[in-house]
Amino acid sequence: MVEESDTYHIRPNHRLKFKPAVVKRYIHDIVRERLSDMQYDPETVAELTRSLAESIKDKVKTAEFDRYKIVVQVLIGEQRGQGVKMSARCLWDADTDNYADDVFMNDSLFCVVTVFGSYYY
Amino acid sequence: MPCFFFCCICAHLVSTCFSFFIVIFKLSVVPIKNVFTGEDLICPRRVHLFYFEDNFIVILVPVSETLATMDDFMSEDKTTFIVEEVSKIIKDSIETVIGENSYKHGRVNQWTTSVVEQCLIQLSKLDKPFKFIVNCIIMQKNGAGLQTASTCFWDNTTDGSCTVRWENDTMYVIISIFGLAI
Repeated sequence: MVEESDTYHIRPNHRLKFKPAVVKRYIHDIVRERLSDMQYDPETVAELTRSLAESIKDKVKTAEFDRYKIVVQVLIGEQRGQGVKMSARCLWDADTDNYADDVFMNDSLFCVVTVFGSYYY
Repeated sequence: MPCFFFCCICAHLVSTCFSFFIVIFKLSVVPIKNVFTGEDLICPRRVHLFYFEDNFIVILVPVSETLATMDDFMSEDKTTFIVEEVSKIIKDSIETVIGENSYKHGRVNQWTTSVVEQCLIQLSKLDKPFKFIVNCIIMQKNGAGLQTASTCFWDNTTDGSCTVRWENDTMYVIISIFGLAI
């Protein structure tokens, strides 16, 4: 019934905001490490996307963006010359919420990761 | 309908004088006990305690902007993420914007934007206390494989997501909507 004393904050401190650049670096490192020499394999790709999403989420949690809810989306597709378009739009508070994304490609697959951070008032 | 206000008076006799702190707050759903008398009070979810000198406790509670009655807080439809409702909105948006069109590289940009905007407009009309993230993927059918996964760090009781997979003869469309409660 009694919350901590800082629940009256309706805006995060400027230093504690969701920083897209920092998160983009995390995504970049993790994806390159895991996917550099991978081939697209229909059997293992399901497990790979899930575990990649989990690792990225855990890494973003270590950055300790206080009171932020995190959504991580990972997309891995096979490279066969097809056309793909991905877009996202959000109805949120542009002052406090933000997102970070990264794209990785090698000869047989491409991977898009998006991380959204939304402040919980 | 009128709103109910509950008055709680905390009093403490300090040698020669009485001091009163009157706290007025709005009736809501979470029950708590009055620490002095042991009777049940009803308090909104967020309560801030201030210790004022050694012997007083002041309970300050924010009164929300809209004078909603108890019915609004009790009705779960207004505050939860309903997957069927959102799923219907997504399907309608896709049917309206893309329908039976064939994949054309030049038009795909406009389709993704329109579908996502339509979804957001319909979602905002639901008038729920949520922040929404709408994600749309359109891929041409040519035998290639595609896998998507998402994981979230949020409050399971209030937040939710909905993903719809749609296809026609020439393309696949995957739309994900995440709803985060305020």
